[in-house]
Amino acid sequence: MGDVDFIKNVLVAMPYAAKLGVTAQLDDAGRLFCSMPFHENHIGNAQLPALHGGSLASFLEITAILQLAREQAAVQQVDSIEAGRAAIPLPVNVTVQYLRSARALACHAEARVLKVGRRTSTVFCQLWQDDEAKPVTSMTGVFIQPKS
Amino acid sequence: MSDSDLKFPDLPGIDITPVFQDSRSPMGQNIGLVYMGFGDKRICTGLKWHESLVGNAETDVLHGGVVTAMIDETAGGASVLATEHKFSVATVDLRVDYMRPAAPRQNLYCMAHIYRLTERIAFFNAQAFNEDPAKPIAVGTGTFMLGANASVPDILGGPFKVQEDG
Repeated sequence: MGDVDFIKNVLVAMPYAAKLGVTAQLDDAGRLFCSMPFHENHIGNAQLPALHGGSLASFLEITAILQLAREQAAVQQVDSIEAGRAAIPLPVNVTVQYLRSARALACHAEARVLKVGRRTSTVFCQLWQDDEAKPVTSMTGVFIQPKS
Repeated sequence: MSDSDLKFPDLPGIDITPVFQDSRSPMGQNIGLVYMGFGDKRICTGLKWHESLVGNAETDVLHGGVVTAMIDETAGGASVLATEHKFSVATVDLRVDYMRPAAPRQNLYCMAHIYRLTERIAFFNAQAFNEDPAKPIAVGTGTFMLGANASVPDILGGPFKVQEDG
């Protein structure tokens, strides 16, 4: 199963990602970027308006899970849709920093797996809007693999 | 009342005034968050399980992001409730520990408490649980910046009247 198919399958297995409209793209170098379009439903403060901290944290967690599942799959040679679904990592904890107010714009994120361990894995993830050099939110998450 | 209706569990030793009011934030409404009670620097919320909020279609368990969003909004509401001027707040940071998997297809409840309030920062802790508050699904802790902007959130309208102190 190719990388693109695998990512698609993991996204499909996560209905909440579809609810938020999260999509994933691979660039020529094989880097995974996720996007979440602006939608009224993602707003936390309608007067500003600013996106809800929960929308941002959810998007970051989805991005981290996709990147980690992808790297785990490369190690464990996941070769079917079912195995891909079973490979969705479980979060142990996430720590989220809100660096700037998130405006009524699309969000983009990229995750970096800091360590893939046999027991736990640690992923760092950053979110930006119109300027990649100005991160809006960042997250560090610890995940475990589900028991197979 | 069907089994799926929200019913906030009793919190032993904690005085909560029950309310039932949909979240006023678009994201809160998006995930179906309902304000269910308030107390001294505390807010209680609930949300119904829904298939669109699932994190893994194989297990039907809510996505961790739903739990985080719920904790963020509940604690944000508690921060506003705890302050005198009631200006909007903004999350500075939060950490969520997922203590055990949420039960599949079960409603989720959350209670957030502001345990320290300074001029500019509110410190919160929060628990999310299915039925038993003593067995939290997730525990959250973090900080909110107070008076982050001049807008006034209206979560305190309706049943969330400002409480008279003493």
